[in-house]
Amino acid sequence: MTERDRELENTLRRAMPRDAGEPSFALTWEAAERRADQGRRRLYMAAAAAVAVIGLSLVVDIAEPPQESLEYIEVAELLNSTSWSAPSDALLPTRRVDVYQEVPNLLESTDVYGGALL
Amino acid sequence: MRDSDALEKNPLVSRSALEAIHGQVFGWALSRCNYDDEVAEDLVQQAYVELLTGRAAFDGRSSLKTFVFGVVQNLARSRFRRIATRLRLLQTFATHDEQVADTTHDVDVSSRVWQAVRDLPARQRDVVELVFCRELTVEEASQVMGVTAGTGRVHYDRAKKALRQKLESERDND
Repeated sequence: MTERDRELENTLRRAMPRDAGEPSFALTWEAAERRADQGRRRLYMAAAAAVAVIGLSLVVDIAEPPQESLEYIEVAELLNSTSWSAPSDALLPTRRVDVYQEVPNLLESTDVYGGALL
Repeated sequence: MRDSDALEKNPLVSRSALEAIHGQVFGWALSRCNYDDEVAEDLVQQAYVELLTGRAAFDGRSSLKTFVFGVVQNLARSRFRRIATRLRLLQTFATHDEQVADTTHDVDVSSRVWQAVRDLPARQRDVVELVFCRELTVEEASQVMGVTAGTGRVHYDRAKKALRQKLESERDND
């Protein structure tokens, strides 16, 4: 440090605003310890809450009735146990319902209704 | 070597060592918050919390004083960054132009010399305070400020030059 630096240092030291007197270390330290404890407690509470949520979800999962398990079905078995018929099957002779055996004789109408043949 | 009152989460820091530098730490915290006693006390408390919980772990590479000053500096920086962000948001949504109060004049720092220090750019002001008033070396001050020793020295030299010029011109004006 040069002489000029020392002179500047002295000027600054003299001009420096006086610290108004620091608060007691013991009090500050106690307050800091309390804050650290609070932080720790908050952390524990968050951890406990997380554990509770996980526990609860496990309980809910266990309490839920088991779903039916899927089984493999043989295709042949499936075909035997199911049937399907088309709606037009009723017209088939094998079903023994009235179906036209010959071409019906359609009479030509001469009556007119509303300008059109009936 | 572990002191009997060493902190559980910070074995290289002892309560008695912190007590020995408490006044200086508080003084440094004061200068970080425009000499607001309450904010400074809160900053120091928070710094101790960081040490107690081990979030700020001292590894003995620097002096404890430098380390704790650095913790206070970082806490103050993050606190005022949050406040600045809020202020910017307020200004963005404000419907009329309000002059933001210049708090530097609110505090009773009557000395023109100290006012000259306060008028320096932030880094220069910090290095001047740390070296001349808190008795750190330029290297230690650089560590506290989070810059390299070279950068710290540049700020220190510029600050000295600016201060001398300012003080001399004021002397001439008188």
